Amino acid sequence: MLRFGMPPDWSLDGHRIDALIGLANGLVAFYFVVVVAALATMIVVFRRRPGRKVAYFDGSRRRDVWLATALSALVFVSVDVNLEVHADLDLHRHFWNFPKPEEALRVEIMPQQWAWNIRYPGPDGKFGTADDVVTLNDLRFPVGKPVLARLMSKDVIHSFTLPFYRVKVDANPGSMNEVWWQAEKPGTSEIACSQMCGWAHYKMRGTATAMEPADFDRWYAEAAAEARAGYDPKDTIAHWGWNWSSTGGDSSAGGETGKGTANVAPSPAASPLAIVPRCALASCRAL
Amino acid sequence: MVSETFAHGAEPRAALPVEIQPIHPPPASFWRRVVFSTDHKIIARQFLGFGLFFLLIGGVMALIIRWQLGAPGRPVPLIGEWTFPQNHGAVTPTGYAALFTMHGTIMIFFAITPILIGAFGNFLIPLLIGARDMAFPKLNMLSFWTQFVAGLVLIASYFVPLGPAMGGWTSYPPLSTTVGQPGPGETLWTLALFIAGTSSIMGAINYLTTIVRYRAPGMTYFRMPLTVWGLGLTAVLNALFVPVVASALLMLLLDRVAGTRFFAAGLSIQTAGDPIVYQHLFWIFGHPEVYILILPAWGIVSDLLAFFARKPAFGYRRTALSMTAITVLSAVVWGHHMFTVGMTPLLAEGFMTLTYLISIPSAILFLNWLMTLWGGAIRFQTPMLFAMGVVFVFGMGGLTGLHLATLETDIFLHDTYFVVGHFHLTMAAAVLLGSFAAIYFWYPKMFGRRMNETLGVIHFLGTIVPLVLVFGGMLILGYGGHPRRLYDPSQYAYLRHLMPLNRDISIAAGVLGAFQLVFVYNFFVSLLAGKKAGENPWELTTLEWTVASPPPHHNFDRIPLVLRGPHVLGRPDLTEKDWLGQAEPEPAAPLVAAAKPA
Ligand code: HEM
Ligand SMILES: [Cu+2]
Ligand SMILES: [Cu+2]
Repeated sequence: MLRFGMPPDWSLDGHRIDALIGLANGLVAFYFVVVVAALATMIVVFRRRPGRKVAYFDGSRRRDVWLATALSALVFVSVDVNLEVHADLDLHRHFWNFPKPEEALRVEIMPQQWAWNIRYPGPDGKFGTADDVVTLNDLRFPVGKPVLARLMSKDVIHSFTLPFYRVKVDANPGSMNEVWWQAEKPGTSEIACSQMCGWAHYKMRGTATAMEPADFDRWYAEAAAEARAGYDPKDTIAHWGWNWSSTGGDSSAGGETGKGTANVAPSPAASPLAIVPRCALASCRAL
Repeated sequence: MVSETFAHGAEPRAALPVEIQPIHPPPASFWRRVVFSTDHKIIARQFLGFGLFFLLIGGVMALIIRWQLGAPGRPVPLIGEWTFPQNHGAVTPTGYAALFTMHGTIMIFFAITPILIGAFGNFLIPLLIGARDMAFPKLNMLSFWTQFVAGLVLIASYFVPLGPAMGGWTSYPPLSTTVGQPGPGETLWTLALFIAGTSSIMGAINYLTTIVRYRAPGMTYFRMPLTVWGLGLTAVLNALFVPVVASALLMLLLDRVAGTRFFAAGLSIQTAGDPIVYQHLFWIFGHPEVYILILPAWGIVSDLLAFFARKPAFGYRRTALSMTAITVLSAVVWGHHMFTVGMTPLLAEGFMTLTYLISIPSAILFLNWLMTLWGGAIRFQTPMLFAMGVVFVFGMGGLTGLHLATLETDIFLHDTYFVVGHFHLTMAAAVLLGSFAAIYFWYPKMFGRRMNETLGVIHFLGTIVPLVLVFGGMLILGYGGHPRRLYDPSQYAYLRHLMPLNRDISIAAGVLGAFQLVFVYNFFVSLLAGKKAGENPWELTTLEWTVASPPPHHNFDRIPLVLRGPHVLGRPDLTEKDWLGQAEPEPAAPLVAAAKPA
């Protein structure tokens, strides 16, 4: 096992990122070696020696202009265009190609200093109901099914990071982001926070567990049953969450509209402007 | 004065620099001479002392950060008991946040900016373009003392209840509002940066006016040393973009002290400000800022490579124009710092493409640097070693920027130590080496004595090797997914195997720090006991080497008439010496022609 490599990749699409990083490594290494080799050659060949005459030229000849043009074009095409094309194709075909909400497991993630609040809609498929499964720092999802997460921070900016799934997206207060991934094999890994969020930023750790679908369903049903048993309609603090109705997922209770624009990578199903936090300013006051 | 003009036989237009610069006698009083001086050379020394002092503080902070990462929770040697008494001498989590925040802030705004821009911008611009002082000497003095006040405010922030700023040098709200940091430390931080920004703007106006109006007769833009090009472009960026960050800081300050809510949002605060706006404003300035720091270094390196290879710079014009192109592009790429914030895809792709465009002028710069060495007779003196070091580490740093410019790969690398490694290689390592090159190179002119070469070479080797190990190691950490700004990385299971690497990086950083003592020793001992420099110790062409070391109060007894560009070195027809000064009449040739009987 490589001691210094990237962390393992357990996701459907993460290998694309790894491959592109690999390509970038190769290109960068190539040009770095060229520069260093040139530098080393100059140092050895053109060091001062007695009687050495310098070659007096200032690079303004026509062929020097051609050299500069050709070289910069070569670098631009071989490196930049190359990387850009790969990145654009991957992003449009995969990372920005969001799953339909009804085909995905939907979760709401609301980080706060210094923990991850996580909410599932429960068996009824609707957020904001008695069977919502709510966990702290414990994110579970089944293997082989896309997970569609919406994130908004409660206080300061956090950055939701799943190193083993190549996922990273900021959770901002006041505006919502959306991200998706899919696990390819079961296993427990970690949620990290990538954005400095206060003195305990380094402790803002959660677990991300990919489970066999049957195991996940069992856990999900149990958790929902517990949630229903413990549901307290008067406990407003427990009822945070957002409106997913714009994506056809559910129509949440309350019907308040809130402030806050969502700048998210939009799924084809959703216009980003239609995503509105369920919690209006007035009702937030309770929090 | 009139006769002085005619002595040059210069055009009336070119006479302006002479007319507007009468020779004033140096001030007699101690205060006006040494403290509240308007002499650009004295102000340059003040900035240099100020910058080196903060470089020391920022450097010690870096070492404490590295101590905590290398040996988490162990008492800091020597100063631990004094700095962290409540934790038995070990760094606390809040102390750690304060350390990296203050380290970043100090290094950028109070160490590198004063050294490279404040000290060398001040010292060099008038001397290199043949002027007797800056256009606005009093503004120049005010610029230093404003920066000085900013430094005091920043230091004061360490001694207030709840401690100094802890939100990182980027200071993103809401963490930087009273929601995240209720104490006065962050308020003072904001104020200090605002004041420092004012100083930078004053300096920039002065530099630009001086370059535009005070060039000696014959000193066209394309005859200026590339150092002046770099400093001038930096001044353009400072003048345009410091006001942008100043507006953000002002709004942040109002949020903190006046109860406005420009940037505060979220359930816990129940207001609808927009923290993302701050990020845009910050990075509209923040990206140019890295070029603000690197452009003077590029200019200096471009000149030094030619000077010490003893031949003209390859593609002088293309170097100047490439630096200009990068200056322009730097204004439109800020979004690459915000790829994970949640931009619309089209915008993000736009920023990615614009960022890539920087590769084109950068490739030309590297080609020019390398080709400048081609066919030369390279003298490996200390300034040259540091200049070549810049090419090396900037190559590493610039190339790793490609991983971060690429939207897809940045998803994984954003906010990891890969970023810390990348920006230290470009803006810390390259700029630091550039600053050292400048110090070793112009020290004789500034202080009239030479620094010790042997110690210089030891300092170079003791710097470049650990520097590459430290920041190269950080690239590897980031590659392993190690987030930045972590007090104790071993909290995460997936990072535990990286702790030995963290320790090794810290050891290298300690070695790096230790070798800086060689520099400190060399700097101070040479002040008193260095070899006398003479006018032109490096046998060079530019105007500063035509006057005494250190130069007299008014720099030039007579404003020079510039005849050629800065790099006439190694011209085949030159026999006695291999260089021809910018204002030096052509040798022998005319005499030979005259002697020939017609
Ligand atoms: C030469 C020795 C240096 C070392 C060993 C060093 C080390 C470090 C380390 C370890 C951090 C990261 C702390 C963390 O993420 O937890 C850091 C952050 C930083 N350093 Fe340095 N540094 C050095 C020089 C410089 C210089 C010369 C500059 C400025 C031009 C600089 C600018 C910064 C900035 C801006 C940050 C980011 C602070 C933040 O995260 O808010 N460093 N440095
Ligand atoms: Cu966080
Ligand atoms: Cu940038």
